Amino acid sequence: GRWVDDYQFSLAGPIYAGTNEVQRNIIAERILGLPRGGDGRRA
Amino acid sequence: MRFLPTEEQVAFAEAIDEIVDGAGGADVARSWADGDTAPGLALWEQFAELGLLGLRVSEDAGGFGGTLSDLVVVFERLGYHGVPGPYLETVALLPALVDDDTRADLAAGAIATAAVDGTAPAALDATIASHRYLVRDGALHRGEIGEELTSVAPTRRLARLTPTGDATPLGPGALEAALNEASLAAAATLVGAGERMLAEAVSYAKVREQFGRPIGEFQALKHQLADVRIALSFARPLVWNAALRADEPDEDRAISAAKVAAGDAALLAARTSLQVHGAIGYTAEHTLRIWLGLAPALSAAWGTPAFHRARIARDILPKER
Repeated sequence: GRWVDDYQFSLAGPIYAGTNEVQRNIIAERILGLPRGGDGRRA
Repeated sequence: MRFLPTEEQVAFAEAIDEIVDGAGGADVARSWADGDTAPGLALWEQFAELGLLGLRVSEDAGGFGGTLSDLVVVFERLGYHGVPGPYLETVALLPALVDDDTRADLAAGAIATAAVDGTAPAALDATIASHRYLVRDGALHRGEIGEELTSVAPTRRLARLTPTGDATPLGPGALEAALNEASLAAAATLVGAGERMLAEAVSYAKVREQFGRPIGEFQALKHQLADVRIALSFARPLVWNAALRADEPDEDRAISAAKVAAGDAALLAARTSLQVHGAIGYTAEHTLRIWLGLAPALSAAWGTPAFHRARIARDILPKER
């Protein structure tokens, strides 16, 4: 039913088009100006 | 509907920043916390000259004639700088409750404070205030200093007041309006304090190194600081909205939403900035303590989160039959 579909879709939302974690990195680097790199990502 | 400050408001905010910086910045709050109120009182005088203390007093009565949006701009800056003193009481709460002569005194720079039964049971900085009030049973009493209390915030010196002399009955709705304005000022202060704690944490994360790199490179920190940025960016429009809802039917709900969101954002900023600073953030010598204490103190004062959430619920849920 509709509620089950919506619930399952809500699990995908935070992942596609850049996970929420990637969005947080963008906020931290572009808005707060924290340095890139670390954690094995491009330095 | 405007959600951005006007040019005049930006200029007024910059004037506040310059005055605070000229007075020594966070050193004013530090001194106050250590018992030396002289720099803070000098700052109060300067703000009186700027017109800040009569912000919500009409121009006819010798005030600035400012709007609630102006109030939000001012208190966000006061929160950002952790300026000590009973500004909320003098500027936001009391002007609508006192008589005309007293209101003119407040606009001219008199220091006033108040305790309100049920909402703010202890008065802030009563020992330095020339006007002390206690709101009890729908009336305004003069207050005498009673038991002194310790606040979680080092710059907030609290005391219970006992009523003395004649009481002035408050008109219907007058106290509710004054408390709404106090809640709004507290919300704006919390946003300012939260912004400062985020700024301090971000600066520290860029210079403090661990494992050979600045700690700000690590995602674990980035994600926490990003969440603070999000919380503050969501709280600020609610505070602005509340300032624009004056005298509208949903004014109470708007102010309560602003107070809850600003309190939650400031508490998240406090927890996160403390963690980012590590052990140094816990020390009494570090300036961070000024804002770390303000977040829980102001989140609980002028209506607890539970009070404001209940008020929102009453407004949006169907009335009981």
